[in-house]
Amino acid sequence: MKKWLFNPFVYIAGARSLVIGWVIMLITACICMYSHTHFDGVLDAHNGRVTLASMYFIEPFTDWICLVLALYLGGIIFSKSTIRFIDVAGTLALARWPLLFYSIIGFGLNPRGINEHSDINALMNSITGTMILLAIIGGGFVIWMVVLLYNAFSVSCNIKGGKAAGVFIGGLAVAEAITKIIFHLLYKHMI
Amino acid sequence: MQKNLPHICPSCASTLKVKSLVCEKCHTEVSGIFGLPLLAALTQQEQDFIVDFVKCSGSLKIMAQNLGLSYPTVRNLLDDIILKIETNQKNLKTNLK
Repeated sequence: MKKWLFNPFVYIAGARSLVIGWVIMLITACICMYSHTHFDGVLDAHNGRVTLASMYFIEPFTDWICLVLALYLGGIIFSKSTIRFIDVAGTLALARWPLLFYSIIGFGLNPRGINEHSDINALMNSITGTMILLAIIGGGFVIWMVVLLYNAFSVSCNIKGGKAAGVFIGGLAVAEAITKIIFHLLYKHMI
Repeated sequence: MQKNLPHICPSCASTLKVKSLVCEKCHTEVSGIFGLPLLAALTQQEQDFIVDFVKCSGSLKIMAQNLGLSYPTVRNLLDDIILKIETNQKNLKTNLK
């Protein structure tokens, strides 16, 4: 059970995990559209911003493809094994599935009567105890996703230990920076 | 009970050699210094993996299906065995020198 929760890639990888991962990403994006949850970065999850419906679908797929490219490149450079792109892409797609729960939690994380023009005091007053609790639970789902992403990378690229941690953190940082630039340009262009 | 063939000296950690071989039927004994085959240095689990791999005609996909594991997991197991064999070969060459 523990293995299925934190490292299902021992049993499932490649095209099968890619299809399952994509389906879950699509369902998550649909829920995000209604809960106004944005994954505007590889490790980012924000709530409350109402945007074009297409953005809810563009964001998770951009995060995923940037991370796949960064970690696949890291895998090619640092792994002694012959790695397959489909394994990296598939396992990393499936690893994002805890965000499905975060998108549902997002319904309780939207401050009422708050918009982009509201000041900080109005925002602080709108935060309730329930919202803080939900944000902590949501953070737990993001941590769970990071553990899954690491195991996905480790299994698909056959890199273990300190080397795996180093390449993974590096890849994550690069992908985070690239997605931030992409979303900055996208939102700027849209406004 | 299946006994594991020891291949590392418990005292100095050098590679062990076979000193004598015996026929169970007529009790004829052959003495000498014989090297262990390379695969004998692997664990029983690793040896079983190699046997399964050969039986599957070297197909990692079929191996993954039979073992109920993903393709990269099976490939990683094989790569770990290859690495272990290469290390053992290097150690063997160093011992011969």
